[in-house]
Amino acid sequence: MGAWLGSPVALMPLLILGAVVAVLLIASGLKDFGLTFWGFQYRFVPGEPDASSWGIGVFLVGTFLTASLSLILATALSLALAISSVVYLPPLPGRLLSMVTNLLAGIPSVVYGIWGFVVLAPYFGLTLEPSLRDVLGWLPGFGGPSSDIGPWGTLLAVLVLTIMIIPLTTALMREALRSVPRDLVEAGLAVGATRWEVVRRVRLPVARNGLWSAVLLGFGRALGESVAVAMVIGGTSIALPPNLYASTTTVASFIFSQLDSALIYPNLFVLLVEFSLVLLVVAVVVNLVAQRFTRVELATATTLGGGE
Amino acid sequence: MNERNDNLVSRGSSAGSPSRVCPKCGAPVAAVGGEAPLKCVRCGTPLSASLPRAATSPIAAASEDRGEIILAIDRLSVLARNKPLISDVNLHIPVGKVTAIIGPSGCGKTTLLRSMNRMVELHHLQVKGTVRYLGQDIYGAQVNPVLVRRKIGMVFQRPTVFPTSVFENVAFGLRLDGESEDTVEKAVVSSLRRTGLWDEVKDALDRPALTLSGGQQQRLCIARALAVSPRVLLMDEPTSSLDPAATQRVEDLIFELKSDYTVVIVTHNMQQAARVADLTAFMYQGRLVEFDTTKRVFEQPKEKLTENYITGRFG
Ligand SMILES: Nc1ncnc2c1ncn2[C@@H]1O[C@H](COP(=O)(O)OP(=O)(O)O)[C@@H](O)[C@H]1O
Ligand SMILES: [Mg+2]
Repeated sequence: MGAWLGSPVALMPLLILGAVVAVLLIASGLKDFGLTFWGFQYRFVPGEPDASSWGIGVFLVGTFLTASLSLILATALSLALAISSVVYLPPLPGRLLSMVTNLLAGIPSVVYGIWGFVVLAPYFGLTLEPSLRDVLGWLPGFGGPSSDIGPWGTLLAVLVLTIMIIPLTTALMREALRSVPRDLVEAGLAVGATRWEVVRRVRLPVARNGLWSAVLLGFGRALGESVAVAMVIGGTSIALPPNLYASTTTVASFIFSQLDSALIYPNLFVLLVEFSLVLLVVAVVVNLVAQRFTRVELATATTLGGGE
Repeated sequence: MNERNDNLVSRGSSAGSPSRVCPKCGAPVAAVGGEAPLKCVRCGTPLSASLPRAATSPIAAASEDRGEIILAIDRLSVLARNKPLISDVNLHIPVGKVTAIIGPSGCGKTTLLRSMNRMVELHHLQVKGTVRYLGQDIYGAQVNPVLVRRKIGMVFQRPTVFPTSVFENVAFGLRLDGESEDTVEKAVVSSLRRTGLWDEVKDALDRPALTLSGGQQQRLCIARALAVSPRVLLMDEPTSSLDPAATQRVEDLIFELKSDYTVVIVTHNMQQAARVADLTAFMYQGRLVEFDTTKRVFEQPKEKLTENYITGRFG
């Protein structure tokens, strides 16, 4: 017990987490918005609290929808990137690829946002969206009209988010694949497996936990992204999006975009604080699950290492 | 499964067949790189001498009388960034025998062994010279390294079991071919019997292989290698992580495997070489110093270096 109490530095993260939660709780004054808080109705009528409703539902749906879709895309792409840089590329190009992806991870999200807004949006509106509707229109979500405010909407936010989380998930997946003991890889090759068969039957299963942890951490990142999403998601209609082209909003981007109004309306301010508490809980849960996977990973690695 | 296909070019049985077949038994006669065996590898029928005879070195020639050669290594050098790890090695390994490679640590035993099934390539090493498996140069431009490794299997210094069940570990190579469940099961059982592991694990086939003891894990790796029916088994210090009892079992197994497989074993334990090997090759600083019957290497070595090594004067 003394071991960790004795080191105040070790307590810092815990203190910070506690302080953040406490400040948010105090700022919200634990104001009870009633059961409608968990509902899907959101209508803010300034100065008329009784006519307003405060449901977080739409925002949560927007958050999980954009985060999940971008995660699916990002997982596929970063798995491909990680596999090629660890398994297929010769050392030098492999390192170069890692360097560039790490570099991408360091770019501020507002830069991705502005790029999405200025470059991706027109391309998306003119080319990508029509062809998606042609090809995948029969799939639920991919048919239907464009958003009435232009190219900005759910799918554009998904694309920007995908590009933003790929560097993180790729780096983590690469580490997971790299940590597969070389002996096992060679043992696979020695029974006459091709490199691809070794990827599929040795590397991926052995690295499974690390890969899951990468996916979850990417999910956490996507859930919490505010600035870039706010810039491209439209955010005008606070209703469940009828299709993927429609504008919607997420918890994080909503908080970000409503800050100025919140300074004028105390009720809205408190609401945003409580929204951020919900987001915090979601993020903590996702990260805890991710860490569980990482721990399992370490345990397997040690068992694999030890012979008798 | 039963029929043996020594074609190293493609996984299918008919495609890429060698240009010649033995007139008597129909076995393929590979003429890769302009060199062909003088006798049919299967039935021993002399073949017409129209193909150029392979140039053989004195050491290689000396080993010709020890029986049919399954792996012929000639003028082999392996280099890492132009620095030779082994130089100019000539070694002809006869079929159905246990050949040991001994020598002080760092002399290139592992490198030599790993050049026999193209595992050296995984480390971006450069290979010069030839390694012929039943006459086919395994480094030939058309040869598929995956097929080389199926014919020439390998067991590593430490057990390399996969984190799956005992059964799936042995089935690993068979699954790659999409064999039927029935075939897989038969091959797994027979490989486990062959390695003497069957009685120990027959009630634990679904258990994680990592729960086996180190000695059992190593024999499981041998069973996994045998399951794809190789003809040569390369072993790199297979007992160095095992206790004496487990070592004994693996050595017994190596002795039994001789009847069906050719075994090449690297060891830095001279007693082990003396116990299991018919032939012994002594390496020193990247060169093959002496290759002869184990008895002669240990009792009347021709080279002073060999004598110094086996009498424990260095190493
Ligand atoms: N991939 C590699 N790159 C560079 N040098 C290597 C590589 N593998 C082995 N070596 C070097 O080659 C020499 C022989 O190694 P090895 O074949 O493992 O010897 P042994 O098995 O006899 O101990 C050693 O000096 C080792 O450091
Ligand atoms: Mg070695």
